[in-house]
Amino acid sequence: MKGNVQMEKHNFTVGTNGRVDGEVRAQNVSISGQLKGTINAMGKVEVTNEADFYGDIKAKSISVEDGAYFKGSIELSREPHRKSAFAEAAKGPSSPEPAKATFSQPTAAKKEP
Amino acid sequence: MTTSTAPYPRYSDTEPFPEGYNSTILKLFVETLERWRDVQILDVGPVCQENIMFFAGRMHRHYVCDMFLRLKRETGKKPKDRDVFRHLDYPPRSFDGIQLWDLTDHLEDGQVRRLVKCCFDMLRSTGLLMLIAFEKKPFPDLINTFVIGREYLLDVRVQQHLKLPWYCRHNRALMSLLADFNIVKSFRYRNGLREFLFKKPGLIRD
Repeated sequence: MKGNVQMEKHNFTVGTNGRVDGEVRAQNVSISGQLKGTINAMGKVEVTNEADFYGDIKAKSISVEDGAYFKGSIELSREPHRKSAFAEAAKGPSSPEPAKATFSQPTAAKKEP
Repeated sequence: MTTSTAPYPRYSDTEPFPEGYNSTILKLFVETLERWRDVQILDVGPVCQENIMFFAGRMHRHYVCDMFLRLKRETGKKPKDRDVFRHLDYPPRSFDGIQLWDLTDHLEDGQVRRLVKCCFDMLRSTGLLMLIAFEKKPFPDLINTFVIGREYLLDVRVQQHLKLPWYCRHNRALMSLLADFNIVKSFRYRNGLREFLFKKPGLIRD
């Protein structure tokens, strides 16, 4: 199959003999065949050890079995309300107080080498 | 037909396969990259769910290109058709960090030079390169993936689908092959593993 797939409310599966070339947008995506392109999943992407994947994945979570033929990039969607690692670090593991104002500008804390 | 109950022979040029350990260099690699913005890293190790979740959760974008499996697939080809490094076709200065794991232990010197050249081109200035190397061929000489756990604990998991040659090197030989990079830190563990963190020369991240 060549082309784009848009089924945000449904799951999409590429079987062992399946071949897809294009962009896939779906709730959950499972790959056991060949997929070349981008995956945008609202939920989970599952890549089995029979899969041959080449492309980019953006998903909430991903599972990849050992042995999968894989080349690509992975970007996990962050929860919008999730606090940044810097804010968490500022609190410290035992500090009962909230983060100090010095961390209110996270870009200043991220120094380049 | 009889079955031998004799233990496996032990050769002087092998070491028992290491058990899990807390990786000092991985901690340094990750914590340095976490201080930078919009970090992109490349992992060329065997595909590993735990490692993908670890890096993808910490870095802006995590790239995976399993060079171990690609190397294995190349071994069945005629020498003139072999070019495993064509898979590392990323644009120059794409990454802030490259995780090689123990890939160089499975490459001949000429292949390591090609790999180092690729990494040098793919890394941004001041980008980091992490490498693990065995002092001696482990026994059994199975291919394992290093699985990242809590507190930078590295455990190993056998990759039955991989069978690759071993080319273990002394420090001097490794340093010579990676001479284009500056060494940041190296560490030798009692289990016979060595870890190295290299940096691409440069004053600022480009």
